[in-house]
Amino acid sequence: MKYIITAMMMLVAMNQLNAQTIINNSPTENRAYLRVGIEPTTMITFGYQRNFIVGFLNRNVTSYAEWGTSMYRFNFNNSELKIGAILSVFEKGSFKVVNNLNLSAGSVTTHNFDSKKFAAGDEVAIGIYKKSWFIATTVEYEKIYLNRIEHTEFYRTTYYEDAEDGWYKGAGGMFQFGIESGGTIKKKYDIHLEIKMPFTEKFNSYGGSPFHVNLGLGYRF
Amino acid sequence: MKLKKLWVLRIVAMLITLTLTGCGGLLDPDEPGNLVPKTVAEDPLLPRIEVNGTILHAEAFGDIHNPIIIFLHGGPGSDYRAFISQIGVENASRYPNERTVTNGGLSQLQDEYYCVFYDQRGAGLSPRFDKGVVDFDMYVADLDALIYHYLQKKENETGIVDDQVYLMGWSYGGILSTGYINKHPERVKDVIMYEPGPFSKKVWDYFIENSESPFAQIGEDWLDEYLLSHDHITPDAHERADYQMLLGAFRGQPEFNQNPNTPLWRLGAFISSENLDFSQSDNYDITSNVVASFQGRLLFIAGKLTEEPYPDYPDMQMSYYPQAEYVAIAGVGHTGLWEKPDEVAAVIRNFLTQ
Repeated sequence: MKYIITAMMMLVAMNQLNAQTIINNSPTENRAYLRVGIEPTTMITFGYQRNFIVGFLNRNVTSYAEWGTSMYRFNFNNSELKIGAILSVFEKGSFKVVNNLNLSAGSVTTHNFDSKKFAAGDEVAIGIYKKSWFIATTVEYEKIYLNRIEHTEFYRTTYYEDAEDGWYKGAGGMFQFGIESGGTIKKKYDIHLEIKMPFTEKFNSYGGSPFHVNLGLGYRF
Repeated sequence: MKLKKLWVLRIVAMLITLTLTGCGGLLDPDEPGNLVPKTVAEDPLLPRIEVNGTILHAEAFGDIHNPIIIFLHGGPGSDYRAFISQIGVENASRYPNERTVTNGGLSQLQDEYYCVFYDQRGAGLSPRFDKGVVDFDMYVADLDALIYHYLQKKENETGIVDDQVYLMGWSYGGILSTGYINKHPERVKDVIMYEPGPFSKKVWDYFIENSESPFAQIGEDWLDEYLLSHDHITPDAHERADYQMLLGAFRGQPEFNQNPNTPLWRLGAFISSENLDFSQSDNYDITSNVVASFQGRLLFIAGKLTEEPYPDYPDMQMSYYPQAEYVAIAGVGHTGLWEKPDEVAAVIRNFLTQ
């Protein structure tokens, strides 16, 4: 109980955030952004952020929605929609701990199966956040809660004719450990770079790209 | 108004109950048989033998009075389905009594030979093993036990005492054949290989030097599918890992000119990540005894399309054998066994009757 009270007091006492890119704390309320990179394949993501005050916390929260799709197979069937909120949970001078909670729904089509997934994720960034730049280390966890999997005729003919189509309990989860940095130019333009190392939720090899890399560009208005 | 609130509460309670009870009715991706077929450990209807302390998915075709050929599939981690299927014909069912064709692929050799097919430990429909359990010596011991099993069966059923078999290895099966011959040269009469994997570090280096960088595959559909699938499935459990790995089957190596429709039952993802092919080894020896002790011959078969990017490969490989012949099959690559089984079978018959 002592820890809960302390945590609540710290929350109330905290100032507004100064983070540059993963959170938009400038006086402007909105930010549009574009992100390109490898996560888990070559992706392009379009996003929108909006700030608002959470009354009971007396805190500025950055909400966001983004849609990312494969660059090489640019369509809704190979994309992911994510909504989330970013909030500073600890702050002392330029040092901050920032939490990013999100929900996502994604789709992938392959020659073997089509899958829809629903997941929840949380990222904690710990770093130095100055007015015009920041650098932070990040830890991220995403849990897949539900999959809808349908197999193709090719899969049944070539590999397994009795494969089960339907709703599946989530097919896994992943951790990512990384570092990210960014800066703001002329108070309006953001640039953001992150490098992350993915693992499965049981800390096995993720199996895809050994690193995830993203470059983001933002515009505040 | 109160009634409405009550209904909302009921719905919320129902959702919470569903969540807490594991969302009854949802399929489990890790349950055998949902995404990939059950192995012999879970499916009693699959053909099998028990050797060297394990069960293996295996079956034999033909008259046991005839000479025995043991077929060794590729991978490591693949299975023998492509050996007994062929292009243009329904792929062989995993249940022998459901097959519409019983002499497909190289199983057509059953009219002259007793043809034995098996899935290596951890591969195909043989039982799974966790990482770090299986090694190359175990694979050699399994093969030795399997050869003994069939020679003994022959003796028991026919009275014929035979102490040698033919081996036929495809891709990784060629590495395993060579490792076996290096240890038990007296057990093998002759060996046939279709595009065997590298027998030494020197050949591995040549192979890598002449292969495209994996980065050249960026933008290919199969790779994009494979990578994006990681947002949906993570390979912690055997079934999920096997399922995901199938996205790259017969697609990842453009120089091999593989036909992506080549069938298989299951790719053992965990076993394929073991260093059973020595691709991660700087120093290993599976050949030092072959030239001095092996009395038999090697027939090296390759597809013309694979020969082109690796012109020196056959000679480099054949140099590890005292007697070797080379035959190239036109118009096919690494999956030529499945695409032109009649032609490959004719080459094998001709070689074995010389």
